[in-house]
Amino acid sequence: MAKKILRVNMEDLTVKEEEVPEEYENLGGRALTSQIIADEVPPKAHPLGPNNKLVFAPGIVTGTGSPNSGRLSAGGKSPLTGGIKESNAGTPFAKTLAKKGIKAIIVEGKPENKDRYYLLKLNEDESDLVHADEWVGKGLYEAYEELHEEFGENIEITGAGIAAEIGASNAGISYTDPEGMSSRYSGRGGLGAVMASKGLKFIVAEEPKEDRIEIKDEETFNEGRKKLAKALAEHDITKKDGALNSYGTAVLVNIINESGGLPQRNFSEGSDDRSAEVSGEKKAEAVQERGGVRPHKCSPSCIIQCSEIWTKEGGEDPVGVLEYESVWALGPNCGIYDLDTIGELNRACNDLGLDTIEMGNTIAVAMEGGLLDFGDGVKALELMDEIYEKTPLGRILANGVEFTGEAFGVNRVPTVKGQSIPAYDPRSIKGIGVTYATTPMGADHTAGYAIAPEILGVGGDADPFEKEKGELSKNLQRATAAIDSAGYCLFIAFATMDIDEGMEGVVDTVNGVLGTDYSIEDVMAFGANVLKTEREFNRKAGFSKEDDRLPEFMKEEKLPPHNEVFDVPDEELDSVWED
Amino acid sequence: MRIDVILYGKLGKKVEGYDDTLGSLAKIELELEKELQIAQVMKRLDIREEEVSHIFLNREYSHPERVVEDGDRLALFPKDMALLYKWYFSKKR
Repeated sequence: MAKKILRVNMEDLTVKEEEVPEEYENLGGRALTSQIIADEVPPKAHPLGPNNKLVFAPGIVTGTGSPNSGRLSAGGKSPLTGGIKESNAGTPFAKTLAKKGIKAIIVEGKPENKDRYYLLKLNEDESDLVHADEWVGKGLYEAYEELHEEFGENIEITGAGIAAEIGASNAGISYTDPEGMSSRYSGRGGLGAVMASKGLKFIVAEEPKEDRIEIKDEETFNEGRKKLAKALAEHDITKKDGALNSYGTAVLVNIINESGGLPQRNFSEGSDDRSAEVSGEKKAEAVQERGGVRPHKCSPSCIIQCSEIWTKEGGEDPVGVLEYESVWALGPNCGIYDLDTIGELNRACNDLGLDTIEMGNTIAVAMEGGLLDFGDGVKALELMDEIYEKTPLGRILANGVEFTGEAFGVNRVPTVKGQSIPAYDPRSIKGIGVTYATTPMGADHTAGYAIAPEILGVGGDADPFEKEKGELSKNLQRATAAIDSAGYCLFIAFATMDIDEGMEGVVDTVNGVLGTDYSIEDVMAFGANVLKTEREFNRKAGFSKEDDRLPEFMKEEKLPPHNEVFDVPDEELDSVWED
Repeated sequence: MRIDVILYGKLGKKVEGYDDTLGSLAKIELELEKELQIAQVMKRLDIREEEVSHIFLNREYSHPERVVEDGDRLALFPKDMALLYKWYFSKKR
């Protein structure tokens, strides 16, 4: 059965099934969300106005059972950056949409009554919108429990939280994890606020009885799937008992701290020995002692299993995973070196519907501005209550780093295009600084992440302090855009870039699903095209190359212990966009 | 001469000085009679090169042939903590 696009009109409250236009047939994930936004949203539209749209799209291979393919893209014009946004998540919700034969959901318009909220219910054969007002003002952990009670255990949920209800620029979109909790996120860029601005509170998708996954060339697909699974099982980083499986992404806390690139106290230093107290190793031991879960998969097809379930002492009150970025943002970046405090701050973010990176950076900027002291975890948790209560202070904080920086007169504001910088200080790690500056997404570490430069043909070793990074970042960004569109987890790149068969597996599985004959070069060109579409949207929205820059303080303030500034020349940054 | 050695994760458990309160690592002071290569220091600690993923000398990602000097900070990560650095950085010699 052919795939379909669901168009959800929140003005007249209708849900229509549309055929997939020919030009979208071979797109998925990020390629599809960005193309639909470019085609249908006026670049100057207000992000929370009736002309913005919110698009969900599972990746090309999502739902097929290929390893680590449980990814979903959410796209729209971002209230945080004012540009195009694709925010990617690993969640069982992704495969449920794919199995239903849904290529994309497009949410558009706004209801007349702006205080009314709806729930989109995706049933076996039809969809409908029902009232969801009873969940307004409720935390997402409790709401998801109630939704499971009402609609059964065999559902996956997408939700906009309390932060989204106040139109906050840092409101993410939450998804269920395999336990049904609100711990998986399209966190970055404020798309939760876009969802709530349309009066859409939840999407509840029933697991379909009939599997509508289409694989056009089963033989090629199966060969590819096996090749990729073998590469992931063999590679040191992705295999069982490797770094990600043993300690999760937070294994990076000690490594990046040791390198002098783990930002401390709002990007004022690059290392602090106390960071070890919140390391991945420390956390893995605590999870084991408490009776949490590690390793754990965020979505059904995952082989790597970097996730976990963090709990309070005694194994009570599960939160979900505490990722490297979250631990850093809510921890060392705020001068907080206590996993239990970080866990509770992360819980509040998951419950309110907030991105942890932006929230941690916001608290750090508020600390710099004198609202509270660095290291004051008790007061930081009280600030989260301000958001629960929708107070004026809570509204300021929920709007993110730049807004809070302006409110408190802070000039060390770590953002690019309005989105705050993640857990690698670009003064120590310059390659990632080029990606932060130039990606159409605003500062985003996942837009051009660790992929072997030599395999991508850029040659030479990558030295952290070397300035010529444009070519490297360009290739990383293209490869990433392709992976985000295929629906694979970015972490497969560790194995596929080292093991040729793994890379062949990725291309084979995509070709198997689509019935195409793409080469690796075609896949890179595909990624380049996604970036071009996104950049063109941003240009029409008012961005120029002058926006592809890091914040001023990073060029002037030296970061201890290496005492480096970000000195990559502007021309090098601009070279990312030259062919 | 004296150097500080930080042994992360499983490497820390191989020596006296592993301290869970510090965050699952061992921090030890090592007395050396002369300047040695990192590889020689590792040998003295009974740590084989294949057990190690990342080496940092004074917070610089380093090759085992680099020489340590008085007051240096040497940090070693075990094989099961290999992430990211291999891709991003060349080893300082």
